[in-house]
Amino acid sequence: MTPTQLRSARTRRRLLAALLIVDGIVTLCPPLYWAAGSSGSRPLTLGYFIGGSLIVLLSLFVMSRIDSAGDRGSETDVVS
Amino acid sequence: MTMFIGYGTIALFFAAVIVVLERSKRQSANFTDYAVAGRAFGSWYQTMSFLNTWLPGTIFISFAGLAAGTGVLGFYYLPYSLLAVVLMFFMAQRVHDWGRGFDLRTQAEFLGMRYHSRLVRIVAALIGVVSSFPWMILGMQSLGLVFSYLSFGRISALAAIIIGVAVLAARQVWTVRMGMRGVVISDMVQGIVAYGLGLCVILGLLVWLLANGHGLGQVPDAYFTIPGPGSVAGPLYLASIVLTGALGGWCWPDIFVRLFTARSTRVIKSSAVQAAPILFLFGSGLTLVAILASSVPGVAEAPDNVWFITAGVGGVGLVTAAGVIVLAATMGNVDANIQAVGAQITQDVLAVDDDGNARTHVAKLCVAVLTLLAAAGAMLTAGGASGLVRLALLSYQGIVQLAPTLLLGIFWQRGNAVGAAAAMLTGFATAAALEWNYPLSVPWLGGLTSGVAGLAANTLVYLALAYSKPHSSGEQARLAALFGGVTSMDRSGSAEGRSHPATAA
Repeated sequence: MTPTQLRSARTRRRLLAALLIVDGIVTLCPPLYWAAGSSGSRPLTLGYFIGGSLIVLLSLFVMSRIDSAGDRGSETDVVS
Repeated sequence: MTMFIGYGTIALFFAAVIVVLERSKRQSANFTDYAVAGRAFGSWYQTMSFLNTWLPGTIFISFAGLAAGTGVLGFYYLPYSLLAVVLMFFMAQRVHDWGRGFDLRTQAEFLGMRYHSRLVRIVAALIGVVSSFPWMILGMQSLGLVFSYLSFGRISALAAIIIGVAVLAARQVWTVRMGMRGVVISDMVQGIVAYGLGLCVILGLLVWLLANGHGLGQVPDAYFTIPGPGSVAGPLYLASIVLTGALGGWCWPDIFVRLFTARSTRVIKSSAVQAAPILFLFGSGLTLVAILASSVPGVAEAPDNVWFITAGVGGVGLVTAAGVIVLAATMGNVDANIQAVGAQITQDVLAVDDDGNARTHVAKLCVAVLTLLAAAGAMLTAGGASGLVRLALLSYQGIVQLAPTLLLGIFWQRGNAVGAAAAMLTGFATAAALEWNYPLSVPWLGGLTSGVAGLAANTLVYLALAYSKPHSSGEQARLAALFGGVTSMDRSGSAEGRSHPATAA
């Protein structure tokens, strides 16, 4: 693996890890749901669960794109 | 006539599943074929199989009942399910490649290989078997409500439970005969009905509720509270149950083995991307229906019946469809559970080594015995299963104790066998003791559940022993090859047909 590829693989791993951390914060961080729950706002309370889940869903799509980009990159490297 | 329509439709659906199974029947070539369906399935089969195992029939009963009875807290399974799918995405490469490279068929076998330890394998297998069994019994009993509603008041609740147990036990004949291949193929049919038809019914009910004066305005204010500081459950309660759900999901043998039935890592990742939006739409829709339906007459008195009470607005036809949907979801979950645990007992507890027909025969026998035991347990506790429910909830806090050993073992080389076994046992004992005394949450831990408290103790033991007992040089070389082998496979796809570097070590 060339240094360029390694850098790229490392970048991908970092991006994937960052997205995983974002997902963890959105779904597990107590101050977020304390704030939503104590707001007294129905849309905000519903939004915490539905919006938070939507963020995780969208992050998975992004992860998939990042991962596929890695596969495409490696195929190009093999051909060249 | 109404009962004839209800039970007749159930019979038709059951027959359709059996026809599909019989048409796809094929003799298992070996134990791998029987236990993980020869690792042959594509992404849509994987997606449906995962969903059918992840979302049991009780999602329409207990989970919907939680939302109808308490409000937005009922959404909690949505974030944890999606987090679990994200974890699937991360675990896919290593678990699938090791599974294929070493011909692994069960979760316990996977852990035994990773830690190079028979002790770890047996401890993990026993925790999996002991924790899964109460859920087999409850799964069999969960059809009671279906057969009660579809009789339209003509049979007693007890008789309905007994009919449900008999139907599920009969269904297991094909699980015994066809193994995992039968489970995955039937999951496709059952999944289309449970989550495809189910989603259509959910959307229809949502429109009906909003159009007939059951909007968010009619839901009590208390339904929009989340346990925070000063609450009975405690400020850390929600985070605990979401974490337990996301991590614990992968600790169930029947869920984990999904990663072994796929054709390739790419298939698992694709199925994660396919399953997530279905989970999101289905979960948010069903929970919203349950919350809105809390103002429908009769739901407040029996929140667990919310799915059937609300479907009642569509008459006999819609109640029947609602029943078939619950049956489809339940069948997929129960047969996957029994099949995976049967394979685990054969492979990891009894350690039947003969690789060939003997092991497959023993596995079939185990699945048959488990079915009979679960059916007998379900019949014996049909009148009042509150003790069993408590045992099942306790088992959830217990099974999650596999998580540090499993997840750290996949991503971190340093963990060792002594640490893994000690961590699992410590976590299980801590969780069991706390769960018995604090079934909701532990007040002096800020509302942490017993399972998460056990996880904390578990992880500490795992890390302490990982640092205090370094690997021998041989084990270090084996793990370096094992982890390095996977890295080198990253760019070459499947490891099939090549010798794995860690095998030589």
